[in-house]
Amino acid sequence: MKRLLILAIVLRVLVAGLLFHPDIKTYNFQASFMRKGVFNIYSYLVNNKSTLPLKDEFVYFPLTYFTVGIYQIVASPILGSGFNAWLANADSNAIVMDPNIFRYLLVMKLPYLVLDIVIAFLLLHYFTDKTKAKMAFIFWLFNPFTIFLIYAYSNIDIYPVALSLIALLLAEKGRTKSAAVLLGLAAGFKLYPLLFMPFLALTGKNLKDKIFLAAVPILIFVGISLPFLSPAFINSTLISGLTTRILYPNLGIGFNESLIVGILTMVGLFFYSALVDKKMDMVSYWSVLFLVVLSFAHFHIAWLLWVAPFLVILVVRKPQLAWTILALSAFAFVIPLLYEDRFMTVGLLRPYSLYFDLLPTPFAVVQKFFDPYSLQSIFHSALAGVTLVVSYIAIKKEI
Amino acid sequence: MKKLIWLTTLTVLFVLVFLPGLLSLGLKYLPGNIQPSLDSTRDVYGLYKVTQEFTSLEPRLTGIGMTIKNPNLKNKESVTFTLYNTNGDLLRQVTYSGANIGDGDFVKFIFDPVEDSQNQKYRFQIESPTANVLEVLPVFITTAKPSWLGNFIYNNEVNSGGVSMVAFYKPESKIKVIEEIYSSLFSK
Repeated sequence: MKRLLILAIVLRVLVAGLLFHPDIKTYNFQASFMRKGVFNIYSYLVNNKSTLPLKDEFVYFPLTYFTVGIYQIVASPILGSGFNAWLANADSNAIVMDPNIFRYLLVMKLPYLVLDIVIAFLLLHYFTDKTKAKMAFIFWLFNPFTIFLIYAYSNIDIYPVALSLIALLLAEKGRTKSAAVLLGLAAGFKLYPLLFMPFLALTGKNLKDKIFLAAVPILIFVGISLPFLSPAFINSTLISGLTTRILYPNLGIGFNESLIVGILTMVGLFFYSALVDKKMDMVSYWSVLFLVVLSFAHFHIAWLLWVAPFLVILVVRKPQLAWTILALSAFAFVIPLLYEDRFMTVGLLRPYSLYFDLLPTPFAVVQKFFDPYSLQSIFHSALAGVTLVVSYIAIKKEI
Repeated sequence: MKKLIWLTTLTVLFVLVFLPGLLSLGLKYLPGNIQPSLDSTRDVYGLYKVTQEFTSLEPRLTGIGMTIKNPNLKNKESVTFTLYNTNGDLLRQVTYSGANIGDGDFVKFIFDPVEDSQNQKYRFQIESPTANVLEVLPVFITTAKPSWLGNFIYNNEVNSGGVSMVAFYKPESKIKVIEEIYSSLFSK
């Protein structure tokens, strides 16, 4: 176990240090204003847009800002004096040619490593059988999907993912009120954990309990967000393209009305769990919920991490699903690699050499002989198809 | 379980160690310089053309890249790049359609390598003779002109600054490219 852990850490350190996605620099630049005493980053970025070297809005929720900002203060002796200048440098070539880039990448991604290992140990607690617990531990640490998702794409969603996993563990052990608190905190980083709130509420023993479990995550989220409430905050987070992407896929029913596929399936799942499957297996529902979101929306690659630990639990609990979930993961991982975005593929290698800027993206390569959007659609449809089967098997108890 | 551990370890090592080398085999040309700053533009259309003199720093010159705007993608006419030597002999010519030039694209005019180009002086011209004033193609100019850039001529007059360009060269061999990529990594 100890040797495996060391190997897992070495692999992660290598990926963290050598591959660079510019998102990590953007949100670290934004969080660096915390050290200068900026509290409301949303308004600050909008009001100072003209003078800032990077113009992006802060699309995460407040706890992300404070966590990254506080970490930067703690890690500043290791990061060195040139770090802030590096963050503020808008020259995309100079930043990857900086001799300190590997140190910066490693230090910025160090909290991810800690949380990643914490997730591995949390997974052990989902099983009473030691062999199964070890399987989950190894599945988490030794699958290439999560290693690249977390470290290559600098996936800051690992904070809410770790909190959601603890919330689910507490809920499975009957500590639903603590789970509700953690879901609220997780939503303080990113909104998506609130999607599970209705399912958590269903576990309440009576109506009062159910209302409490539904209200707590929302109240905590509102409490975290309220001090920042402003048009800048609403535009950057609540109604940003990323947050509302889940509402895009829809089926027109005429007269400008449509059925929103994501909401339709989530509501269906909720009522199935409430009225048909009265003893809900929360891991299965959590997995199915996020698989549905991914399958019926143009997802960001970071979203894949939301479901990853729950799929590991699902595979160990229902080994007959192992190959199907592997296929599902492969489809889900390939789709964003086909997006017209250099930083999904060849752009990650820029710290090696700027020569990789001359290579075409998979999108451009496919475009030479086939429509890349059609190829994405084929993979997405395959993902949706596999999701339907996995969802059926995950929820149907006797199989 | 053992298989999974091996598979994951090998996948990670493949991506980090072998994939960069493997991908570099696809590099047909390499940049000779970093593009200088983009400071202003000069419109190319009709009789208005951009001419730039330069010295090739390496052998096997195979392309020139520059940033060109195509406002509202209006220019759908021919855009011609012509390379001359100091005697005025036409060496290479590349013609694109303006329809393929996006607004603010980095456009690479790639041609057959000029083998003995090292330290030789050349001049190139960009023109879009059939475009009218509503179909201009503004070419980006730099004030941070590197020493190997010579006179910059616009509308038959020598202007200050120079085209913000990148010269591309055919690599000596694939092995050299791989060597350069890994040595650039370890030099940091």
